[in-house]
Amino acid sequence: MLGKLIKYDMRSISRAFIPLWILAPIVSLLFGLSANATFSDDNSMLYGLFLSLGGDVLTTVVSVLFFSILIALSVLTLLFIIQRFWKGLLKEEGYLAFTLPVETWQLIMGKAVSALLVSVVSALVALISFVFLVLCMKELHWLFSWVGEAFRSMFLENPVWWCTMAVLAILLFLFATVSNIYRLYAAMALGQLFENHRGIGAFASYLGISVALSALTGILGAIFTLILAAFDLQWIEALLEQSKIFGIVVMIALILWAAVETAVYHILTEWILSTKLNLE
Amino acid sequence: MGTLTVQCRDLWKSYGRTPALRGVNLDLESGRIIGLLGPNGSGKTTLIKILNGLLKPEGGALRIAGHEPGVYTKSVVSYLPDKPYFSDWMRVMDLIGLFRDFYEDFDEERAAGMCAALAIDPRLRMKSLSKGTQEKVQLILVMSRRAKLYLLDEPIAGVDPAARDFILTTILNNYNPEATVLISTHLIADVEKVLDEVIFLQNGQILCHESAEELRQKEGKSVDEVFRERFRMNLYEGGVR
Repeated sequence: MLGKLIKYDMRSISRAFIPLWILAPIVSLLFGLSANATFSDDNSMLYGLFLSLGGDVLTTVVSVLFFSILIALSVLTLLFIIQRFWKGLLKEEGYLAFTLPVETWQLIMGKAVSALLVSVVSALVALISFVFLVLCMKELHWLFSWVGEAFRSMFLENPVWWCTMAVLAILLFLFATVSNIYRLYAAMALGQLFENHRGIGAFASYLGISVALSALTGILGAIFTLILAAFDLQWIEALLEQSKIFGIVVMIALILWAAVETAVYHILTEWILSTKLNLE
Repeated sequence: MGTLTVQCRDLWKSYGRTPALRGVNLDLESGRIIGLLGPNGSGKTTLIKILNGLLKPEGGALRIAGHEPGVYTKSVVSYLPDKPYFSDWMRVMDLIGLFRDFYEDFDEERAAGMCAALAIDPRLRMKSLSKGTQEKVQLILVMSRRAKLYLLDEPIAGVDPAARDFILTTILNNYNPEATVLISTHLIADVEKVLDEVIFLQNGQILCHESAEELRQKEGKSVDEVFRERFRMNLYEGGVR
């Protein structure tokens, strides 16, 4: 049943996102080509203007274009994640969703998996768009060789450590994305408890969760520092740093933190939607 | 006598401080079409939402087809809400596909046949259909299931008299005869002819639950007239019969 729920969510996504995912790299390519044409002419006014400002013209243009595309993709992905949960479960579509013969956790997880897929694909599209932009500009091709050289030297130096870090970085990206998605879900579920102005309630809940989370991480950080100081455990720190395990430990700790956060948000969301659901 | 499809014992539900259901006791048998009748705000929709699992009661016990509300009961309850519940992107055929995917008791051929009889093109987007046609499509889907309990919330409100006849005919021709059909409405005159039983609900309490025919004979009036009389009386007397 979870697979079927994801299937229907992905179908609703495909209408909005597939054109966007195709368009973003094409727009990057066109931007890149037109920027290249403009700035390869050393006598152009624009080129002169940038030079007079003392900026690295191509880098500036590529950065602006890339960040425009990145912001567009991020905003649309975020809006999609919110809209699919809000409309799909808490508004009229909820009358269908919550009367399907599935468990509440499956409804929530179905939305989360779709949201994660969209986030991952959007991130990949952003990366591809960036590569396209750079490809268009010969002057920036050094970036490819620089990245290639950096990877080569890293893997030659300590392949196992770098591979482990790469896998952990990908896992951290996935877990952090999921926990952010679930934080939005928990906030919307809390907003649903308000009798009126549920949208404002959800927004206030999101702010509340974020503030509480900052306070909690601050307190935990202070406690950790105090423990280190009190018990003179600096030898552990030294050992970790020496054996290059420190980075890995930090990554694993961050992944576990994101996993715990996700679990808490999921339990809260499921409890509210199972016992306190009140569709308008 | 049919088997019990619904058993409610002392059901309570409130929204904040406003009580919506106050100690509802109800037994509904299979093979019956039952009218859930009451003025606006009497608790009809709340009761239906509890029966289909959209709301949790704060007190009391409920069994549907012998089970507590959950995934199983949702698989045997066919619910028509009083509003459109499809996604904007869906075509008629997508909704049919969704029912086929999630409900084992869904008869796709029957649904397709009814759409064809009404000249509804399954490739059309639900959003592009008129409100009346959207309601018809939702009713077709709901009635194409071989469910044990049909919950129809205001199925004829907001549609023209010709569409009302279509809706009532669709219900009569397509419901599973071994099932219970619960129709919530305040347009009693229109549905009276199809009802086997009536339930009068007011202020979250059941005023009466009896056979439509017996009520008519006992009172010498139509159910619609009895309803108007009782609720008018209650208005003046401020009490419950």
